[in-house]
Amino acid sequence: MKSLLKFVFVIVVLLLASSFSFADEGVKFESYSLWIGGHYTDFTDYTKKVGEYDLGDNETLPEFSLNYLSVGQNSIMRFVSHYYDSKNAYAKLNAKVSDKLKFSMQYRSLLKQEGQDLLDVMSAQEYLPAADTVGASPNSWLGGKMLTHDIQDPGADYNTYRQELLTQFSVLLSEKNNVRFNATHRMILKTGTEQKIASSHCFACHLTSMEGEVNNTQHQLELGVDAEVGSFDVGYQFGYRLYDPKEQASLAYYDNAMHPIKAAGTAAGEFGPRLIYEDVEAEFSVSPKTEKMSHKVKFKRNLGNGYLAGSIGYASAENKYTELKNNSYSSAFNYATFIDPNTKLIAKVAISKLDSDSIYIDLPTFREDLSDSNYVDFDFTRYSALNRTNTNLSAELIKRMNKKLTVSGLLGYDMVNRDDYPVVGDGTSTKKLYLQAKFNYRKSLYYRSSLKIRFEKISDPFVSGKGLFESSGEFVLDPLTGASIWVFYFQREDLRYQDITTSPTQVMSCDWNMSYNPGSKLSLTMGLKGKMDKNDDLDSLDVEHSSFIPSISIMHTPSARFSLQTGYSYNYDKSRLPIAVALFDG
Amino acid sequence: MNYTASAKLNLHGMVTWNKAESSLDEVLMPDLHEIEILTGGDLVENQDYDFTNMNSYSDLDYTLLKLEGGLSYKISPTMTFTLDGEYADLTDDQGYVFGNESGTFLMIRSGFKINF
Repeated sequence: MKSLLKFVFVIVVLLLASSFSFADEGVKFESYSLWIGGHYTDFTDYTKKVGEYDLGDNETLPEFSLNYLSVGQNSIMRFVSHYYDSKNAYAKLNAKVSDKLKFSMQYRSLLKQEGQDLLDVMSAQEYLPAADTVGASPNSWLGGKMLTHDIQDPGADYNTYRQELLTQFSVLLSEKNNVRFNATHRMILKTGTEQKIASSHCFACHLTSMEGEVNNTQHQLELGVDAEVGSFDVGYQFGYRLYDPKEQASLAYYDNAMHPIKAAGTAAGEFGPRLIYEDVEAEFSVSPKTEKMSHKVKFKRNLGNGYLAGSIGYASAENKYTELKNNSYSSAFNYATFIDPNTKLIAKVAISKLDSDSIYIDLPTFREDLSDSNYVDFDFTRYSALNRTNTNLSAELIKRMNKKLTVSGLLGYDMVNRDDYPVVGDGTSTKKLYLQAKFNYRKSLYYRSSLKIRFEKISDPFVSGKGLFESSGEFVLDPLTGASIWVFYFQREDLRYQDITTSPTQVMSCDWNMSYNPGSKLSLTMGLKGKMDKNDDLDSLDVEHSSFIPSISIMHTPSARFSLQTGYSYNYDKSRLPIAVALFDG
Repeated sequence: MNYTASAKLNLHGMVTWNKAESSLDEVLMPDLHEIEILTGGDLVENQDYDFTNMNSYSDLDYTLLKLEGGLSYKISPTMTFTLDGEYADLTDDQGYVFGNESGTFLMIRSGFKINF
């Protein structure tokens, strides 16, 4: 497939080059340039970070680039290419014949070095302080609950090779009604190896790391027709996407269920029913084969001194392995008009609906074979948190105050109405109201500055439903049946008592930048981006984020022969968020 | 930086320095004494964990220094000689997840450009 990709690209380039020379005999200008040489690379210590997109070897390799430009009376054709090594190459061909035919084809490839997670921090074992007495051996005060890891390929050299071929084509079918056909196809091939980690939940948490194959193909196709019909510009667009994983599935052994302390093989009847997989080799980390098709109809019509534009769309996506589908319906309308010669109004309305299949999860009955009547059926229907209706409304007023100053104000309202999350049939509605003011100031050709200030107020942001665990000692759990003395781990789910989120309810942001060019020799650019948000509506948590990015850049050109550019930027981010620590004993 | 030394010789160079740090403030966990009062002394067994150093487990500290330079020399109206070099030195002062990622990269590139 890789060779075919390169072959197709070369053939198309040659065919186009020859057809262009015949099609436009009045060539006015033509130029070629060839750079041919080589490079030597040398690495020391860890190569995968500093040489993330290089082959990572100490070696000398040939390298070349070829460029071509042809400008005719009615056409232009440009070809640029660069071959760095067998895994890093780029080529792009652009061609245009008057306004009737446009063609573009681009190939690029790169190799990415993938690191190996050493899982060093994935080791822990239960500690029993009461048994840690003078002279006691560690075996007596180390408990049976533990977290261990196993790297089956230490020092593995993972890397992935990505190739992309993008083709764009546009042709004027009829000058009457200006009927134009557009087509875009993007193909991405990814091969190589990467680290895959299987998690075996048993008497002890056990992570197994191994090499996994990467081999997948993506196709993205868009076909469209645009035309002028009466006073309307109308169009239709079809979209198709396919993600097709071809890699061989990774297999991992899921440990057999055992009591954490008692001798191996005992109490399997108790611990086995807690697991879906135990003492079995099973596939893991499987990528889904997905397919998506979409249709969109759009229109635009001039109205007075403005225009009205809109679109209606439908899309359907499917996981081909599980046959789960997601349907979405969308509509959007924009209206823009000049209220007076210096004032423009832009109003937007968009409504969309997403509907995903629900799925019935059929699980083995918990402890079905035991005789103490503590049976539990965990079967459930999973409703998608994606099911929702989105509504977006906004109006922006842009006013040119004078020759130097333009001011705009934006007022918007977004609503996400979830059908089934966090409660089936009674989901939450997230509402966001936002205000934005923008100032553009230009004093002569030498100085310009802009400032944008935005405020958002959000109610009921997306939450992890009952994601907060119990306050210690505030709740008591009872055994499932009167005859039993056991409280099972899964019962602790009942102790979750509050929704939590890291999403904010208030957001304030600003973006200022300035450029000053006192002459042709010096230019100064400064900027500051800032953002602060918080959520203080939660009973148990305070969530805050802040971010500041000041920057400055100076370009000095003291003479036509010398130029110097310097710049500095600083990025500061701080967050206050809930932290969850996994503890033994639940 | 760009410098045209003569009609035939052009020089360029760039220095890039990037420093990235990330860390957590000390995590304040629930006070065991308060829990003991709440529960009437009924602490979960072994609930005496120490989180003093937990905030430092995932610190990140990278410094990247990159030096680039090169020249092009016009041998004739149609042929130009080029020579470029790039050196990058990455220092990882914390080493997390992938281990210590410190390393250096050197590349020297040279060739001839022909204009038709």
